[in-house]
Amino acid sequence: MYKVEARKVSVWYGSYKALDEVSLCLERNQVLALIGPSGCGKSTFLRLLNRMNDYIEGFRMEGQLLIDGEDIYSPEVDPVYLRRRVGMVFQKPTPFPFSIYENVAYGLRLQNRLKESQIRERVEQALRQAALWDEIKDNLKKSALALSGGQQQRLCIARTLAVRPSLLLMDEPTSALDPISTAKIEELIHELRQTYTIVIVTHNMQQAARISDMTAFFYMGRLIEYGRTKDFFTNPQHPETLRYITGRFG
Amino acid sequence: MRKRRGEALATLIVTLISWAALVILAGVVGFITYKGLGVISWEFLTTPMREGMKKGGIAPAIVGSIWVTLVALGVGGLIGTSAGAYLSEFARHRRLKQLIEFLVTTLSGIPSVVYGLFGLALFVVTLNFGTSILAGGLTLALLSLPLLIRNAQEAFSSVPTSLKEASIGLGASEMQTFLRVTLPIALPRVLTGLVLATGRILGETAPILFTVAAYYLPTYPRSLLEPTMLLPYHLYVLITSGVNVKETYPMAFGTALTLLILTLFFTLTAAYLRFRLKQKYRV
Repeated sequence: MYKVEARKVSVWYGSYKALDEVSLCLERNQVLALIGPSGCGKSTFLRLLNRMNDYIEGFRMEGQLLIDGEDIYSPEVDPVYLRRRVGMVFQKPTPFPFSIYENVAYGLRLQNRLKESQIRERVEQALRQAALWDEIKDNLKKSALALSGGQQQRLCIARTLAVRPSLLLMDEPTSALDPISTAKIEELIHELRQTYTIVIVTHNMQQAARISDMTAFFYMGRLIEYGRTKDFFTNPQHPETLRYITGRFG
Repeated sequence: MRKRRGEALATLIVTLISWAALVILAGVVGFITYKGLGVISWEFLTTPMREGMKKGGIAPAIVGSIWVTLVALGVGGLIGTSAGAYLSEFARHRRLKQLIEFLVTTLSGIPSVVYGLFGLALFVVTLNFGTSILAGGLTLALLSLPLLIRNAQEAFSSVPTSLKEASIGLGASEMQTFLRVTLPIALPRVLTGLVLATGRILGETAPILFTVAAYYLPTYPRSLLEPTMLLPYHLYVLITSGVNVKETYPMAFGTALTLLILTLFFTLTAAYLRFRLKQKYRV
């Protein structure tokens, strides 16, 4: 069974077709990079996976999208529970204006089942996983807004990990960060792939080549090419892919 | 050079006009304070009126105004904040939302005396609350609803979408997101709206005329179903229709100053709360 399987997925926003019959399969514990020029549908595809597009007016979807073999758009699936299994990290760091501790505890408190001691344990665990613990362990009560941009993004990753999703979505998580912070996050992604399956949107081709196992190239709503990252960058099959990865458009 | 001089002149005019506005405002407050300060005493603030309102204080009117304002703010704040939340966060049908927004805007243009008449017909007569604090408070709640709804809606809309999405992305329902993220962050601005409404409610005269205000009732209300004296109406009575207007005239300035101070007190309290909340959620 694949971790993620898309079967002829099409998406419309009103009359605009944003995705056109996209099909792909992703194995467990792999990192998938979605690349392509702006407006190509890669973010739409990413946000399909935790049903974040549900709130967009005029959104309509056809085809099937399976996570762990379950059709996530079937009427029995509650998107709220789906999002606890499929975590998301956004382009810009979005810490809540609460303390560092409360930021990480946020997703845990929603579920109302954990004792405070368990929450504390999982907060620490998540912060360690996100490689942030050593920097902030003495300042858990401090406002998350006082952290640097790179720390804020790692906090957001910790916040997502604390809920213990099995699939992690990242929407250009380093595009707002400096090179050092970017390197730290890439290192982190490398660590996380042991436990998680990761789908990441990136504009940075070197980044895609560095961190991913699989790469998907989207162009004008269609999945042009999909394959192992190794082969993808050394031996692209489609002329459009070659033109894109050699920087001739996009 | 000439252009420069024209600009300097324009700046000067704008500055003068804005200073003039401040001077006028200070003049009004200063005049009321000057005429009223001599009247205000501990007795004036804490005892009922005596001898046909010529002697004694205005305590029943103060207590009455506070009661009515609390009822109006409680009911209006609850409904206004909920409606604002609905319009900002939960309304899905765009047409319906636009219709409600249009109606709210229209409501804010209705003269307050019309609200008074409506309050009389609905709360006093039909619902049989009688001339009472409850009827007056509810009428004033209605009157302040457009302001409260609009303000709450703007407060909730001003919370960054990225934070709401982050919450949804962590597996929060829309209601959880509203209660745990949007509401706390928007609270300072919601409070600001309540303060604006308080100022308006405290000073309104027309809507309370037929719904709650008593001409002369020098006792303290014991339940929400009793009428009471109120500061704005008492002020009106002292100037126009007392037993001896000449002798009650100075009392009117004391009443006016009390009303001003009360409004200021509400404003400062809310400003303090807002300051504390802003410190807590630095957005």
